[in-house]
Amino acid sequence: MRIIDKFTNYFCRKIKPNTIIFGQNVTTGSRISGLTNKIEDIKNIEVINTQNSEASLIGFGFGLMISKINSIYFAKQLDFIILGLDHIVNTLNSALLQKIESSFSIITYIVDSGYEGPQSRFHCLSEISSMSKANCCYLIFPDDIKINLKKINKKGLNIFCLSQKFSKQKINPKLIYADKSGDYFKYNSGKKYTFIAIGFAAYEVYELIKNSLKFRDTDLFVITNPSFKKAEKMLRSEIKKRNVYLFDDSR
Amino acid sequence: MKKKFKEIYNLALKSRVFQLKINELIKKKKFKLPIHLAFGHEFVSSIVKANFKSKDKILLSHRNIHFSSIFSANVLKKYLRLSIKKNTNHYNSEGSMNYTDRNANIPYTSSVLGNNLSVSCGVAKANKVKGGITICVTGDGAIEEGTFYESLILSKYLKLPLIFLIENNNWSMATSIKERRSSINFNYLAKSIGIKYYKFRRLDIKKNISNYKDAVDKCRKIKLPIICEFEVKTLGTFISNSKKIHYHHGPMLIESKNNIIGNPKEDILYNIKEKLKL
Repeated sequence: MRIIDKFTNYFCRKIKPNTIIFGQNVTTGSRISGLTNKIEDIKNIEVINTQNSEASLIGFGFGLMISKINSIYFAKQLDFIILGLDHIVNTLNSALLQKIESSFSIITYIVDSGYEGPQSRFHCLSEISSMSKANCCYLIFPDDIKINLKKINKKGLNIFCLSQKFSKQKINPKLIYADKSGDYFKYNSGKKYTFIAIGFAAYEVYELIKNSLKFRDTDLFVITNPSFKKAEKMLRSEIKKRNVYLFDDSR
Repeated sequence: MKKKFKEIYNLALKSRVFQLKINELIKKKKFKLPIHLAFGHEFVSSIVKANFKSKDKILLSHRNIHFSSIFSANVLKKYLRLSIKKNTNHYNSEGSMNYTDRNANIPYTSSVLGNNLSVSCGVAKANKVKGGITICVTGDGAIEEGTFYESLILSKYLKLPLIFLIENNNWSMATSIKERRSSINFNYLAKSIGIKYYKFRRLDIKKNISNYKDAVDKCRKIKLPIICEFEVKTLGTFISNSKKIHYHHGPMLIESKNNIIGNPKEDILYNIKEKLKL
């Protein structure tokens, strides 16, 4: 099964009743390259196919949040979310001061395919994470997606990103270890090397381990939280070992 | 009707008295955080309050004291909290420009120009099912932001009972409308989206009271957005780069022994009293 299909399956199971799901093309066309393919399977929710005004749609989600309604906004790609940075930084600060209990989640693609032109070069969730108090998360392999999608109803703002380039592929590495925070995962064990992949660098690093005899005997850690909150301890401990390599393809 | 007029005048007076108190405290440097006073805006907040129901919500902008002073209980206590420091870097509150009071149905206020417009769409969506209307207070500067247009379309599409209340005082910081942009014909703009528009000329006191009630009743009935544009004159004067700006700019008013308003005919409170024969 493709990563995107795993995502839609897990997504449908995690949504709480009375959630409002909105965004342009959520019920029409390609359904944002398949992100909302199974949305009709979710019971007791409201789905709104909307206009294309990213900044205001993000403000709309915050309005629902401060009115105690959980909502999810599907957007085409992370570049477009920049239009709503005022809300992601300032409105979130204001909402957090009010000790809100509801969630607002944004799910989008990072267009990392490399040939989409200058408007699709924003490939760094950590930049948003450093500016805002949003909980940011890369959704990478099926097992970490399953675990991290539990955070979709977490109070506050949650931003989840999938890879446009790899999410249509069938990649399903065996999970060795998942940190309980969901901030990092271990997908391969070995003694010769330690590879630590941040975000979507994980796909190519995993391919490297799988296809090269030289690197079979390698520990592979994948960091899904760009703020490194819980991964820092692991990083400090692993970095003391020999042959540790850090991979980060964001820019 | 006389009772309603008196209610509105008393609310406006209450707001004025409160602002004068706060202004005195500002002069004594009691507040470390900025407070935007709104002398001359009291008529707008008073007629809004007089038509406000328990299920309604109101979202404000940075200049909001004319609303908070009559919507919130224990408002002086709340303002005095603005001067208390939590630690060396943080104050123990969100500040006056982000004033919220859930008990007074003020769930959100933003200091960022135009920020509350789209947030109010979300609040209105949630509040619609509870049977209330939502009022988003904005200004002639904030409506220059693109989100104003986006929020109009969104609110119309979602059929939200939401009043976009524009306080047009002609100024955005130190530039008048003529100095910064072309004029906007709200009638045409609203018509193009299929939204009802009401214009409230500053000294049409009686007409404004009756038209605002009509606008609110319509919003409750048709459950659709409405634009209400109020002309206001922010009182006070300040000098910026040798240019006299005829509007009050918070703590810059310092001559407490003189009248705050040189010509009382400029004052909306004087006009309410005169025109309603109170």
